[in-house]
Amino acid sequence: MSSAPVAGAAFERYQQRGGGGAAAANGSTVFKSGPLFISSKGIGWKSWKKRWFILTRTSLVFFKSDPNTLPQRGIEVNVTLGGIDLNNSGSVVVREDKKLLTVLFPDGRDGRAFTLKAETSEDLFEWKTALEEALAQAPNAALVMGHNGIFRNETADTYEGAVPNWREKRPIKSLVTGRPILLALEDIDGSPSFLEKALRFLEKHGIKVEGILRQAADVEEVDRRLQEYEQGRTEFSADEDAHIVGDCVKHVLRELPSSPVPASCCTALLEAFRLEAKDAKINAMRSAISETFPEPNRRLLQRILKMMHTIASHTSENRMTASAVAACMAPLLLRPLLAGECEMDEVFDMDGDDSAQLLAAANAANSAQGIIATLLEEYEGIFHDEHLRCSLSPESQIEDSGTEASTDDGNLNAKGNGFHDAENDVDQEMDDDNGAERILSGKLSESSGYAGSDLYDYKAVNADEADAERPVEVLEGNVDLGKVQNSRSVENGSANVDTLLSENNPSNPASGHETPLSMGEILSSFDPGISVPTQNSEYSVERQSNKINGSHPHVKRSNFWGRNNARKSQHSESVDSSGEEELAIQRLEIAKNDLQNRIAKEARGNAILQASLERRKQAQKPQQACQQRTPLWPSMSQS
Amino acid sequence: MKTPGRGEVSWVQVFKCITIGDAGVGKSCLLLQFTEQRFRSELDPTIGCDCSSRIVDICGKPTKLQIWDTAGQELYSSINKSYYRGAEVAILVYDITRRETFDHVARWLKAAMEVAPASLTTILIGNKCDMSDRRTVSYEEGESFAKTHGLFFMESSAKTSHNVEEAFTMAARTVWEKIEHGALDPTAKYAGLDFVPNVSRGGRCCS
Repeated sequence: MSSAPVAGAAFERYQQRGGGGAAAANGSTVFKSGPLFISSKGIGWKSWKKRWFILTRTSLVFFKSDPNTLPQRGIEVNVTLGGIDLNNSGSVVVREDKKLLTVLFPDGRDGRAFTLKAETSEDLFEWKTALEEALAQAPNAALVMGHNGIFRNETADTYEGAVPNWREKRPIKSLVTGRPILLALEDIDGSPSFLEKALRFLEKHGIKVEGILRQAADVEEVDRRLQEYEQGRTEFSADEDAHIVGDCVKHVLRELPSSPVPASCCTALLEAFRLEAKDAKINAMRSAISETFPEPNRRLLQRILKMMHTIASHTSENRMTASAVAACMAPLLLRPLLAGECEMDEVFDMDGDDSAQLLAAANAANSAQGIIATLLEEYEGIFHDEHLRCSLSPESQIEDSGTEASTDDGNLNAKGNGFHDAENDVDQEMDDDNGAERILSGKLSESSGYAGSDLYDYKAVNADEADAERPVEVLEGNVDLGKVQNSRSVENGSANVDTLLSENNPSNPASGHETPLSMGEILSSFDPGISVPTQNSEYSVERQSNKINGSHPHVKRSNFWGRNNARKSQHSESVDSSGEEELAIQRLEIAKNDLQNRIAKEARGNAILQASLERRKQAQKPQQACQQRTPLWPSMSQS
Repeated sequence: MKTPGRGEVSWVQVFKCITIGDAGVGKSCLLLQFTEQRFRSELDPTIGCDCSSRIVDICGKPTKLQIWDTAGQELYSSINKSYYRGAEVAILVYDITRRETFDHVARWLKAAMEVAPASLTTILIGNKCDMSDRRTVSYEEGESFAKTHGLFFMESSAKTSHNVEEAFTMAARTVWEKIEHGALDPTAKYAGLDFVPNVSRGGRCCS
């Protein structure tokens, strides 16, 4: 409810009409009025308060009680408590089982959402109809707000946009805190971020420290260390106090602009966690992670869990068991759960009953700890064979075929799967221990592809401070990576790294994305888990775009390169809009040049791996590899 | 096991007590020692809040100390502030072997003062005094901090049970004295006994 804008004007109009009789004036027709419940949230709980709502063409405002029933004498006006201005870009989403009604606006500036609850199902649908009618007649979005037509990704996540306290807290362009999730582990140039370095430090030096992650360090020393990093002390030395570094990690996680695990993913994990049977629980949690998580969030979560896992595996030295580590980190990772933003079974309808709320908070905290502890205990089972299972799941097949449509080869679908198997075999060999992760943090951090998308995202955030846009752009970034990943998977068998490099090295800064992406493709293809979640996030974007405004035609069914171009043009637009972005472009250019050098080095190293990958694949599926190669190369060179 | 109703003098007076302090200073251990007379060196961090109680006899008056054991993790601090409300006693714990836990005492005190009633009885406890060879906070420092802020002070050890019983009974006695002097009204709206009527069954309530 922090996004309740001015409703005063609407209220005045309402007053002028004498409180709801036969209204006439433009904008003040009452479409519907009546009681609805509005949520009031605290830590781990949510209660619903009954308020009187009045819907007009231009606004939805609410009062403590029906203004008509109260005598309206001078000062004793039943003042409006809040409301929201409407425009025709809004839409209504209904959750019938919970009688929830969400009004959301796709505009990028504040991405407002407003969730209300109806008393009865009939009422719910009456409101829905009335709201849709009002929205259809509401002022044009283009006139009311800016040009930005970007949609939001998921309803549940709009809460995060609606609690905009991170922006004030975030220091301007901090190297350490307040970075978007995509940049949490890597800097713009692909080098390890503060967080990544701190995690490595803990894995190396923290494991022997008693009470690591549990015992708090001195707050001032933590602040000082963060400042020193900003001022250039960017490496952790072995003699540093591990508790300080541990608290730095916590601090960075706390200051992330959005939760490492978004609300919708928390809900999915929570539902999985509540299953009784252990096997079912683990499976459900695994699929929650592979199917609901945006790729950067999954990576971040996995990276943090990896560190926790390492610490918990040295319990005899540091006395931190898995459940203890989980208790210390869970609130940071599952932020929305602790903040009561997840759909809990028990919704407290009572008004302000403290003990019930405290119990709910305790429940939430316990669930959070349980979820993280389970993820830790089953870390290997959940993250290790995630890609095995998922590459064969129906979703990935659908997405594969979507991508492959661009190659005009109808038979690729089945072969794609065959290929995945081959790839998995290789992966398994590679990550016998935690190899995948090692590559993720080591090799992949050199990926300019990753850096390219990151920069785009980062810049967009910095340039216009459009918080609400951010999740979408993160997703768009994913989509492209995911697409690349897909086409990469298909052509992997025949990949020649050097050719790819030279073919896709445009010197034009405006089209700089292609290079990074193709590099990202090369390097990220070593991360077995990547492709599936991105496909899912892409899927949700598509679904959402269908549902909400459908104004992104080429997002839906164009091929990879078409999509990339679409995004590029969007990108160029934003480049023109401010000088700050040009600076960022220059930085990107410098970073890119630097990276190209490093990539060349990297590529030589990778070529060895590539060769073995290729050998294996050809040994297993020689024919498919050849067939896949043919359709893909022409489309690569066209670009 | 009845909860005294408002305005009714029961044969058991319930005092709400909270334990606060940095993570890992031994709050849960102190409580475990007080309520169950045992010590565990490997307790998981408290999640959110835990609660248990014990009836002690204070000058012939059976008194139930209902102790809410809050998590020291800073992450849970926003939840835990809600538990402070209505507390008669705060047991503020630091670890004498870890300087920073003592440095944070002032912050904990401030947080408690913001939420809890002014009549709050606070006892500052320097825990782990069995490890005085690793001591980094001297007894005098703790005592002088307590004096400046009007707190009671003790050094204790949850492991050896040194001063554990004493700390809690001293707290209960002080509350009784406050009631007798009229400084604290046990029937007041936010008195602890009124605040948690439905969870005073003596067992653990929130885990």
